[in-house]
Amino acid sequence: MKKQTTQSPFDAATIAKMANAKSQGKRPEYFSDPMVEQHFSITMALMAELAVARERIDSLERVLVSKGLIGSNEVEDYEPDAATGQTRQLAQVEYSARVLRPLQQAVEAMSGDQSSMSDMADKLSNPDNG
Amino acid sequence: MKSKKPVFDIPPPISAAQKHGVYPELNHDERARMNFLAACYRVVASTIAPGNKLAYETQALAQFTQQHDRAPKTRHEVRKLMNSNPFHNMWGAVRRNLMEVRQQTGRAIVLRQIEELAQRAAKLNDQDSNLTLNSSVTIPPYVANIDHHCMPGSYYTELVTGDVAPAANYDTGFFVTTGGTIGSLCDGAGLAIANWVKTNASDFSPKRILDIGVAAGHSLVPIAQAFPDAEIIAIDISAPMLRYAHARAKSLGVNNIQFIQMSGEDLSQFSDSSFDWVLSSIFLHELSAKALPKILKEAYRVIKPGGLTVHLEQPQYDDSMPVFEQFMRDWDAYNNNEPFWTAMHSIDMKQALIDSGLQSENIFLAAMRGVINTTLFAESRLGEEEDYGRSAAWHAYGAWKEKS
Repeated sequence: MKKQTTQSPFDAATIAKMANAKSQGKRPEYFSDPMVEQHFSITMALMAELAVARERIDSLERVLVSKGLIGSNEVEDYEPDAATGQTRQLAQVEYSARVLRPLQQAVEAMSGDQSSMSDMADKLSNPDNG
Repeated sequence: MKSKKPVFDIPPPISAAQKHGVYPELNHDERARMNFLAACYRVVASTIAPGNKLAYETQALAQFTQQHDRAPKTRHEVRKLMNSNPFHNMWGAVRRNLMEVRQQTGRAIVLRQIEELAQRAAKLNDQDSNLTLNSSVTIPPYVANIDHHCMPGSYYTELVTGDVAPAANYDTGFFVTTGGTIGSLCDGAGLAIANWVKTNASDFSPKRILDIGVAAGHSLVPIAQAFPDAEIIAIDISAPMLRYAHARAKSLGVNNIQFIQMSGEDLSQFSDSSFDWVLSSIFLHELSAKALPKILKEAYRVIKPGGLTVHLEQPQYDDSMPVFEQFMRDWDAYNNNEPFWTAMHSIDMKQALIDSGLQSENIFLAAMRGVINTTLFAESRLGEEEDYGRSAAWHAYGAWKEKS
């Protein structure tokens, strides 16, 4: 990767934090639940980052094509053989499972013991119950 | 004014923005982030934003009418109503977040090269008598207390010696939030003003021009190019904006602008009747009800008899503008940190100009359309589709000062 201009008295981690700074004043509320508010903001930030990742992949393909390392439709026309196709589908399943983890856990939460850790803490701290 | 069929032009990538001597360097992913923002703004404006009107007409209006036996009479009633409409809130959350991502993106770009940018500006500004900073200028409360456009630190905060970062951030994002509609140098508003004067006052050849609130000079540079023999004075309260604006103009080959750190509320450095033309471009809405009349009065004082004043803004709200449209145009006031926008756009500008000293019969309202390079950008889009407060179609409130 090309060396980029970094002439700053601030280190990278500080810049990341400073770039995120909040503007003055109370932020408007769009949802009734502050956690939904933050959840949505994280989703929008991820939307931007996914767009960036897609553009980077596109750049990579175009560079490979321009250097003659791959044909112009080689990625588009790529067809995996049967075994690779299965491996990739497994990766797709794993991916979806990871992203949908909260919903899976919500299903699991509808059965079995759902004692809170606060209940458990009380229980375990009582010499008569533990 | 409405288009026959929906127009969807793809906004140009940030690489189409014209570079200049103090333009920050953007790496691949920073460009991609900006490209995402431009594209996403466009999708939101063309595909999602029209849902606000539908939500109002098909959901909220019936609810209000049932309760009050009438339709909302003011934009404030519409806002109160729509603030509990789920679709409107979802759209608002998207818009607000895009602005926050835009600020994060721009700040990350300029903060990592903040000293390089300061040095590049300093090199262009060195010993140049066309740049006069004055650290005794106080930042007025309407700027100090509000981070306009959700821009942390606003226009004036300096983090390093000779800082230009707020201006570099503003400049880089401007192309993206306007989706290229005002040109590769974001100079469409200035071109519109210059074009209007050349067309409507062809005999007018101003010798001395004052621009109040020049910011990064996006609008003033094309005016300086249109009147190359004029002596132009540009004032702003922010040192970072002025350093950047001067360096930017100079690197674009424009040398007839003097940039001075000064508040528009106090033009005492200039004598009465010393300018042929006093202007401001997309500036009045960032003031206050206290500052606006002071600035208009000062402007009146320094204009020569027979001279011109022009203030470019988005259209004012009046009785002919539906309350729903007023409400949508007000969104930025409450959600994009531009709180004076709502009061400013309901001021009777004609009366405000009369109060400044101008004569009623000399006051005019002119519609000014964005002028852009049509080889790069689709002109067809301008004004075709309502994007409440963001279209490249402005109103200029102006007047000729009576000849003595």
